[in-house]
Amino acid sequence: MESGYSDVDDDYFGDSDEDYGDDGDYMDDDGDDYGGQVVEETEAPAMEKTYVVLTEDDVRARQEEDIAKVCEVLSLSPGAAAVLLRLYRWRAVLLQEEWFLDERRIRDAAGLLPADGGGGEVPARVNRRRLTCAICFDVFDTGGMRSAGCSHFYCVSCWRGYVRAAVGDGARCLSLRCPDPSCPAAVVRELVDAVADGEDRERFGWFALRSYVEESAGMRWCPGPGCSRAVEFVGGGDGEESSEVFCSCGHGLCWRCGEEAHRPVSCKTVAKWVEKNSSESETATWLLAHTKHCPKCRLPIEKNLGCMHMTCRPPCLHEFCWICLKPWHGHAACSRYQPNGTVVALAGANADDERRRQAKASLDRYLYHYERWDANLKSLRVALRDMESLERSELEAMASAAGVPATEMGFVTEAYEQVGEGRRVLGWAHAYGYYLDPDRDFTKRQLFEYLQEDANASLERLHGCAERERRELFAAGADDKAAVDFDKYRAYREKLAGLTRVTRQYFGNLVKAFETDLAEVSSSS
Amino acid sequence: MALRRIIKELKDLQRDPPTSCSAGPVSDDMFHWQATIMGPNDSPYSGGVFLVTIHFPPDYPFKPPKVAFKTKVFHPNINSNGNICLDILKDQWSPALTISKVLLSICSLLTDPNPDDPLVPEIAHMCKTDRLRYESTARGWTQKYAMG
Repeated sequence: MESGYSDVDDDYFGDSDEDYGDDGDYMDDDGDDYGGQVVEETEAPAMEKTYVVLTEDDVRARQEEDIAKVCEVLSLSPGAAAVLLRLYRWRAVLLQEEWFLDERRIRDAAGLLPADGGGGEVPARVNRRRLTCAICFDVFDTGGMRSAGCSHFYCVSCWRGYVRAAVGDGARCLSLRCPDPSCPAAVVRELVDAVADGEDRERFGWFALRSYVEESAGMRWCPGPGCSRAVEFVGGGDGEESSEVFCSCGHGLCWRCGEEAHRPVSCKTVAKWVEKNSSESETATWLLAHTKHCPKCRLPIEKNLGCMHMTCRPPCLHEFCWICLKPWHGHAACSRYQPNGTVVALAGANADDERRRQAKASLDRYLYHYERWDANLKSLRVALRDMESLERSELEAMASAAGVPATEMGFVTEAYEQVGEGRRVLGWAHAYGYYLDPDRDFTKRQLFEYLQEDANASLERLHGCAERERRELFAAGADDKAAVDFDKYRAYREKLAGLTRVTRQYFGNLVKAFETDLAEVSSSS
Repeated sequence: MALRRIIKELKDLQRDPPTSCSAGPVSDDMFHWQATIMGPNDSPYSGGVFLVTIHFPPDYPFKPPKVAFKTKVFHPNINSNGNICLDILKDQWSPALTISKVLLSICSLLTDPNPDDPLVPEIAHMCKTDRLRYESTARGWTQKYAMG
């Protein structure tokens, strides 16, 4: 790791523009230009957000608003409205349209019994005469039992057990029906609240809240560990770029496939990579026993039949021997001349050596890329935690120590956002790199290594400056119980902002190259 | 709760026993019953007496009882371990159902197998494509395992 930098770098940073802090939140812009006001204005429309981050309270408020609206328009109880909205996956407008077309059909589908003579819903009825509960077989006086608006009454104690069992089964409790096997009446929130104990009521409410996000087409929970926010995808934006959303906690999500944000790598590559990592076959033993490459086109090939005659997949169709990898036609060494011990032994030895070499090379390549994919994504999480800590309190303390307003500390936030973006891109770049075969894609691999080496070196300098050098600078200030030297602070600010810009440029190049599948390289190489 | 309900069910069964089944606790443990099911007359299981075990969960009746055949039976919805593929013993269970109703449902399953939701695909296939052979095999198993 570099502890300093060259004179050329010194000169460069001394001449840097003072445009940090002008930008709002960092987005996935191209990063191939900076400082030009005109260009920034031109790019502004492309950076408008296509999603909204919602806290748990926001989600609850929206859900309650949708329910209240449906209650009013359709003259229903909140519990009934919620059941209908779930049936329509929280599309209130569609529900209203169809309700006025065929109310009866929708009631039947949802398990809402017809209104009693226009008197409105009765979500939880009370028995008006002495009855026997069909669950515990005890007899109860007037008022001791409940029904789901139908004629099947059960005692409060049995309702409590029924709801508890359903809540214990998970989100299924939201689709609960009357205990009578032949009765479709829906169990709505009001009935649950009337009979369940506090803990089950709370859990039912939690499942109800979750259904608003999980059953709406345009919403997802943030996948970040410990984060309780949801993200609503509004759509629009420009094609590929609009599929990535970023929560306030910094975690990124690909809307298209549900995995962590993985630009510039495609969803298909990510799916293959994720599956590979979880596959049980990722062991040297299995690789040695089963995996080889076609000697002609180098594509991986598995032996799934008993005989040794292998035929590569179209379009190659090369035919070779599994044992010695020699072309099948005219091949005889390891089957026809069995009496010749020397030939057989040599062929066997060579075949084993070649097989083991290929397996080792394949495993080595996988481990090389896996290790770097894993390390970068772990560094991403560290950076996100640091950023959260900075935004919580450290930035204000730093601003105070340097004697500048807190709003000036945006350059640190920007640096960390670039670090996070860089870690994410580098990590997934290695998933992409794994699928570049060392022989077939030799030239592409050369370009891959060149681009990611430059990006990696720049990112390490940036991360080191944002992390270690920042702590050194402000720790010294704290120890002395004195303000940070302003000249040192200003020099640090300029250095960090400059590194952020340079790193953004490197990663812009990397992203563009990968998104075109390294198109600069001819595929006929 | 569970014990009181189980005792009430037992009393009901003793007072008003169903025609083709009987059931009761194996010993002092009220949560472990044994039942016998007479093979329905209009099925290849006719004449057979099938032994069934019943285990009640501690949160019965809010969770279904575990019911399994002890007697071998050739049926697309009953496997060699005696497990029964029946919706009311799984996701369609309701606490308003009783052992009496469960046993009656099993009788119905013997009369009308459901090969479209098979537990034993080979028997289900035979049931759909070679009904006579399925019935004769089932009758043979009944004579061999469920009589005597």
